[in-house]
Amino acid sequence: MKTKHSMDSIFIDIFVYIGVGLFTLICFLPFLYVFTYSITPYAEYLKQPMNFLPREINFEAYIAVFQYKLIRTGFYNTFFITIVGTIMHLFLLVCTAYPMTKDYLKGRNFLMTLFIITMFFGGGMIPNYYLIRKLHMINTLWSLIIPGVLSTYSLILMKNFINEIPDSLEEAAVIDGANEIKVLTHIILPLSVPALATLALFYAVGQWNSFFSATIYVTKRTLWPLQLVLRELVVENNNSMNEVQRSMSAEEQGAVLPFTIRMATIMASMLPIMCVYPFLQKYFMKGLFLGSVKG
Amino acid sequence: MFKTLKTTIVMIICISMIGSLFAGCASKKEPETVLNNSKTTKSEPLKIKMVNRVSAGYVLEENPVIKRIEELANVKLEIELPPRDTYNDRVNVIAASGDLPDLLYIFDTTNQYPKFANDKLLIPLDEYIGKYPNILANVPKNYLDQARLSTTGKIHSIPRPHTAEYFGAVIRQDWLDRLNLKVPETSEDFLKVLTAFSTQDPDGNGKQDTFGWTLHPGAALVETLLTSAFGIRGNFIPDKNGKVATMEMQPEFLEMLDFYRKLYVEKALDPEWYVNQGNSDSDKFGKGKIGLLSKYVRAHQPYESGSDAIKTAFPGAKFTFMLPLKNKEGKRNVYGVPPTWGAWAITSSAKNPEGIMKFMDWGFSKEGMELNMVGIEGVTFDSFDMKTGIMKSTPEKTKTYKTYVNNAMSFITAIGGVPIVNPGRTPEEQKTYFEDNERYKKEVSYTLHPHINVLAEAVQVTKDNPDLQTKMYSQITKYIVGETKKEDLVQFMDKDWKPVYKKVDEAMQKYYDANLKGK
Repeated sequence: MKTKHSMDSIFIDIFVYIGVGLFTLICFLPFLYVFTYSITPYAEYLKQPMNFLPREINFEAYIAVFQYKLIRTGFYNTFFITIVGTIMHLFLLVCTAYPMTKDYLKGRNFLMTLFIITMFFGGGMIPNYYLIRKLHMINTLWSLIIPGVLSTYSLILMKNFINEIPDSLEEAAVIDGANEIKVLTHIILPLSVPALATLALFYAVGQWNSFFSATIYVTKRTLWPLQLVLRELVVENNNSMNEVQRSMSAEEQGAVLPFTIRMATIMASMLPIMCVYPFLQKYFMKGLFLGSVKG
Repeated sequence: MFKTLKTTIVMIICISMIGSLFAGCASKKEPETVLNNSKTTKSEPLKIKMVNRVSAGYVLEENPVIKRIEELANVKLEIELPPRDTYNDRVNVIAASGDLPDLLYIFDTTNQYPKFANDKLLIPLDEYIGKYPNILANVPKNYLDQARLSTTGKIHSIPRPHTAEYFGAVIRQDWLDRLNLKVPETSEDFLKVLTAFSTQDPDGNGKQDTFGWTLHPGAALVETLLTSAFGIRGNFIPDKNGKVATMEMQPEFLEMLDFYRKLYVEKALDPEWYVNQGNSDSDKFGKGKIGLLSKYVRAHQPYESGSDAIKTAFPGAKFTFMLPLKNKEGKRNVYGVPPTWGAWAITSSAKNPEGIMKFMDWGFSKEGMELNMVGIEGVTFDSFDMKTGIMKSTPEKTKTYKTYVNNAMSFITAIGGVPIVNPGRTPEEQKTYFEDNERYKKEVSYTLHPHINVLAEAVQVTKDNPDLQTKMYSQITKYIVGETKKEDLVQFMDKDWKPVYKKVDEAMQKYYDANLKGK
């Protein structure tokens, strides 16, 4: 009986490893493909379009990418909105979530209801545009940060996480003479690091990848975030080739960059955020179960 | 003391009230943007806010060409360049929010243009056009008629005259040489050559990994190569009896589809053609997977992006431009609408439409065209001959040219379909383009006809039946790949298509009889 049980678990382990291995390959191979062709000459790509390891290496695609002035300004803008946005996000998150955990806060439930309503209903693109315009934020990087700086979803997760922290810790601190701010900064924040790291990473990745708001709120090209620049350089127009567009097609076709330059553009925009991830990974694993398991 | 204070307050109020009366009578301050031709020797520059669609490589900041334009035209330009890919979305937001610029480039002339004009966001230009000689000289009447809305009867934009892109195909000459074949001229030759490309290992690598041709699904099925071969006429083009009809209503249309089916059955077509998107066809041609690529005249020349790489990847690769196929009478007939690339409109927010029209007219002048298309001599180019369209510049100046000049900033890119600046990296390449164009014009009968949207009925039919065209192309695709029979396709056309488009054909006949017959 004992042997049968271990044989079963061996088989299960084998299946699990194969499954996970395949899934890893599925995730990793496209990345490898993009990397390979970002350092491969275009002529080599035409000869061998399905290699996962480069046969010939050169960096002409990267040189071509970084010659675009918009790539440089795009990096700066994206770094700004990601770093500043994340700091503001965390600050507001903590300042909002912590008071919401206090039973004695008057109107707490009403406020929470208002927050939740925003998760389901929004004004739409045009009313949002009017709002941003009225606040004189058009053509500023703040229009890409402030509108979504506090996410209700993150707020709920953070609130639940803080609720899990035993009250006795706070009470002990209060007895020792700590005020609310000291309790927040010396007790709550240190214990919330996994949650904060996870939410910071989610938000930062979201900000790094955002581009649509910029198409609406930003008219100066030097304020375009990196993903918008990337989109302009990489995404092809899907020519429907109707009668009128056929006459334009030469101009539209001429704007498409060679494949290898597009791959280099993708790599250049992915690398910075991927460099941040290893430092936050240990928190990320803990934070995955944020608010989901009690005790 | 209190009494004195009360009196003082009353006095102040009275003086303020009297003062406000006089303020109301003061003369209105003249707006800064009025282009004043009266007493001052140099008037204030006209401030123009414009929105345009330009590629990402173009730099607006510290742009010497823009500065020169402002000096010469006496304007101050505030230019917004939204992303190309979401340009239409941005224009929709601008229109909906009321934040209209003075001058707006309309890219989507099919949907946005009539909508904005009908919503009175774009002013009619009929009363202005006649006053501006450069616009009249360089925008032919049939181009302007294309911008005339059937709903208002007025012209609400100036189309940007563009290069007549003579469509044909690029074929692998080295494959033809290896298989002892010639460039096809008729549909029979075409089938033979494409089938050979698919079955006889034209690249000599020992594998059967090539195909003759690939297509794009949808509207791109209407290939100039084959419409010429089967004698399919353009809209408003009459047959021998003076009858006009839309393409799908002509009997030759089904014959052409039968030929597509034959190409597919004979394996002359790439079997994955119906999932092609974007530039898949160019990509496959570049990888040496297909032997023929439907393109405009310049595609096979080395200056087309990637062509040098193709020759490096496949040494010995040679390309020939193939003209549209001959019909039964041995002629090549191609039809098209006046070639334009979007249109320029003055919005209802513009305070000085006359001033903006003057600026546009300057843009259509020789000085304006040259500045917009080639930039500044000594800065972005060394020499330019407008007659031949050949531009010479050093590599450094070419770099500057690519940064500060973009033909999307010009009001006009071609005169009579001939580009102001020939495409090509070197004068030799530009000369080759010119010669190819001339050959095309000599051997192909290229006839312009009005755009179908001059008919209110056509616009209405598209509005009322938004999915019909998609269904049609879906039926065609299924027939070509053999998923449905010809009877099903014919039934769809008889039951769904023809009853709807009969109205369009009738309207087209009336329009032709009234405006085009005998001309």
